Amino acid sequence: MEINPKQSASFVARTLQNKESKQPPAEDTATVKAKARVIFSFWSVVLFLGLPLWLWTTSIHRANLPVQEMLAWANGKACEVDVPLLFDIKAPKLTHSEAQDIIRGTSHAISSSKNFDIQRVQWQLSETLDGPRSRNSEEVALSIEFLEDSSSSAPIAQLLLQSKTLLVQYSPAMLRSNFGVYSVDIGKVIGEKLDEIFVEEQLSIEYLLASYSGCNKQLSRFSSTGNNADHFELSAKQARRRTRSLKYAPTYHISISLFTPGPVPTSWDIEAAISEYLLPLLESYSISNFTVDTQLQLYAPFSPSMRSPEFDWIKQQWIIREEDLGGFMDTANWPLSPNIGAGPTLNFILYVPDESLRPLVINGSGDHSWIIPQWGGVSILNHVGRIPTILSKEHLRPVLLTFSRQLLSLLGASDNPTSFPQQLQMLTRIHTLSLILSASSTLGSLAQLAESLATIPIPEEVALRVTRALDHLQMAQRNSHAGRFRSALEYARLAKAEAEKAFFEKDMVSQVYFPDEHKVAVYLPLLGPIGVTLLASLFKEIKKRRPTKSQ
Amino acid sequence: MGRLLQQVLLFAAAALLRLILFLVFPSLPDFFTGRVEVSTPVTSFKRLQEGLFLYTRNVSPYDGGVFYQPPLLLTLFSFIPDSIFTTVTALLYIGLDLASAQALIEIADSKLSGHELFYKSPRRHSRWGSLAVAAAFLFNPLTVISCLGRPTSIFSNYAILLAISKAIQGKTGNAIIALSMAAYQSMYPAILLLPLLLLAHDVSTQGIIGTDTGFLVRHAALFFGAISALFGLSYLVTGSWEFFASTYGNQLLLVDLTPNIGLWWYFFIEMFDSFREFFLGVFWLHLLSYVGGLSVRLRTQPLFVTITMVGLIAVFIPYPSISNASIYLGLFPLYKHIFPLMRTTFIYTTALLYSIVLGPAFYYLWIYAGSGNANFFYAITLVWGLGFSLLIGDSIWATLRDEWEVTRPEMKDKPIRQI
Repeated sequence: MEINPKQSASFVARTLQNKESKQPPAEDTATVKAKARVIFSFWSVVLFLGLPLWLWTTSIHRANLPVQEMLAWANGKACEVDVPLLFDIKAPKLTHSEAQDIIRGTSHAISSSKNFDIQRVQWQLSETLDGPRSRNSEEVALSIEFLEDSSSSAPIAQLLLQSKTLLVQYSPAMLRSNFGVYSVDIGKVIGEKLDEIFVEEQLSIEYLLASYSGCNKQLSRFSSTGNNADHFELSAKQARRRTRSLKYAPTYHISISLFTPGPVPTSWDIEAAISEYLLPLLESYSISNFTVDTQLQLYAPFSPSMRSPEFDWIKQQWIIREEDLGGFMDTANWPLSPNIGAGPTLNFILYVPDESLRPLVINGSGDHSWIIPQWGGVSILNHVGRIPTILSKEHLRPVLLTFSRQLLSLLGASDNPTSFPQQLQMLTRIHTLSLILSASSTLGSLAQLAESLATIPIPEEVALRVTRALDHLQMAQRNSHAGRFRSALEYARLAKAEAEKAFFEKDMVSQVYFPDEHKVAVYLPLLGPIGVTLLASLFKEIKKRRPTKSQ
Repeated sequence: MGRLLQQVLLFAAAALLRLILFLVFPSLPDFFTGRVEVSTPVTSFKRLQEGLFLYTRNVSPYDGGVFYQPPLLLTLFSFIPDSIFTTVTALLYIGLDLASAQALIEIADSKLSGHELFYKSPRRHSRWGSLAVAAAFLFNPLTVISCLGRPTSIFSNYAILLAISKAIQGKTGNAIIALSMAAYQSMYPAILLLPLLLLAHDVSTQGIIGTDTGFLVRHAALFFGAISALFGLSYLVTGSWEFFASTYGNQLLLVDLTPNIGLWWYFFIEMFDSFREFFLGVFWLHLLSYVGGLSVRLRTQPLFVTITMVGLIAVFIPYPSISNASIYLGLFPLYKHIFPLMRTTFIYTTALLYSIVLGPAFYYLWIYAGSGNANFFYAITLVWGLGFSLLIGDSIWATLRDEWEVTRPEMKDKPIRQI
């Protein structure tokens, strides 16, 4: 549109003239009143409905957490390892005083060792020739049975493989003392043996305590101030074991797979083999349950990224370099199941190499099996001669024994397993402690989080879980101190689960990353324009009223 | 030609048009039933049939979160035999449209728009005939499409029009009961209670200046009594109170986020969970806050306030559809005398036409073609909402100007500026 400059100028002049001559007529009082009422009506909605709504819907609910107790657990209460080791003595041919003498000797022997500093050693005489029988309610850590054998010249102490029993052979001559000095110190022999059996457990516990930030590390052999020459080696050994083994779970899933690059074997008698060679182990590992599945995969070659094995002419065998073991499995193409069901999965792989590549071993050690930390184990079956179409139970025997050893290792057992029941009990105690420590640390973090972030909501659910976790922790420690290791483990597991659930509560975490500045972005786009309009009209109304009042 | 004959011919033509569409294009009703512009989760005819299927087989229709409509509708529809269900519902919806048009004619006949009891517009003689207003409603494509799509909001539309026409005729009790039925069916008409009461009050207390609070309280109590009776009846029919959470709970808390032409769904998809309740409250309060302001400012024109609230409802409720727009567009021609005072007619006319054309296209791009996303459709619903709010805002402005000219007759038809 074009504007004629002359015209527009005259228009401006006219309007200016209008402005001078005409004063706005006074609005009639009804309209003024109505306007005030309109503003009042909008503001009453804002103040009487909007404001309560805002307060009600955006208030943050913070349930009360027992912060002090949570921090107490995190900062040291969890480290109270006052675990009794009850040694039960069965000596039907010894008198009470003779047995007492031996106990004294043993106590003396082990008190010089550092290995029993943490745990509390207790003795009970359940069977002697004449003395009273004492019986504690606690679980027996080790039975010591005395067997009279006149032919032996020196006392022999040996651990039975299938039970928690230390068998001590002695001849009556050894018990005779010359003015309190024994010709052969049975107590010392037993003490040394005990030391040997329990050193592993003590080191594990110390390592756990040392690696937990809340504990006092003065006594520990792993403390950084210690200038023990073995310190580094000990620490590395423990660390290796910790990283290799899986976290304790009440249920594990075991998946046994056979992979072969060729068409044979088409079948394997795995069910019978498992029930014969693996099942006894699984059944006796009474602190966890296991589920097992198996699969057989033909035409499964190596991963393409792996260098092909080389032939060693001297030893007449094919070798895989150690650095290639990581790429051995073709995880993209081998159907290795991820976690099935509730518990973690342990994978065991039996690889049957092609005839042209046998025997296949690892460079250096010459082994044909290895462990993949926290994941499972691999074993290569170097069958001599043609591979049968059906792998029988006998063929699978060495493999399953390897798997059993790997399984125990993955579950956290020590490298040099002694007696299996004793190992199991040791694992129970270590797992309990580790669960207690981890639950306490989680609770401590939660308490710190709740204290440092005042804006996050804490649902009642979290408070409830924390209370339950604390109760379970209490029960776990009490049971552990009383020597009831199995129930201690169960309580510790529950405590850990509750603590984790409390920490990872969905409603709480979502708010952690929602700082106050973001609220501006939430409120302003809609409420800003509305608010500005409402405020402007309110101010205008107030301004209008003032001069009329003063007049 | 007598007026009665004209009206009969008009109704016959409107009914014939709908019958032809129902009969000649049998797939058309189902097509419109499936459109988001016509059917919302709380009014969808398809969901009604689903609920009916469950209800007639003695399964609670509210299990499964598909059906959000009140139980008495089910009772009504369950009387229709299956064999003639389609025919009877088609006739029912055509009948509802005609009844709405009849109510509209009665409202127009009263000439109350522009000539209310305490307010006489200087332009009140510029108006369309009642039949023209009814024709504009009956032949509005949005009304025709709503009729074919058979959303249950047609029922509350009729109840609202009936309530207004009864209030104008001085039958306040009937008006309140009609409004309570509308509110029972879709909750939001309860917002109209205050303007409608003021309208009825002005009509029935002819000549007395000032507001009779007793009248308002009495009839508000009647409203709550009537709606409670409907709730009680629903309880008897279904045997439980679970319909409350599904029908009104869903509208209040916006459980079903199916897209519609409103402004809520996208906003609450994007909203942070912890602020959801707050903004639900803000949105409802926003709609509610207009009632007080408009009723106070335009106290002398309660019919206009009622109609404006109908228009605001069509934009700002959680589940609006074009049937909500069609009732406002049907009522709006009553105010022909303010048309010359409206300023931005071109902008909102084009905005509304633009969104009517592009809305379905962008929905297609988003849902079927996959070449667009939710923002496409939401942008168009924003344009629709903007166009509608501009129309309403401009009509309020025009009314205020009209009112102003009563006190300043010398300024009639002159351009004004802020002083």
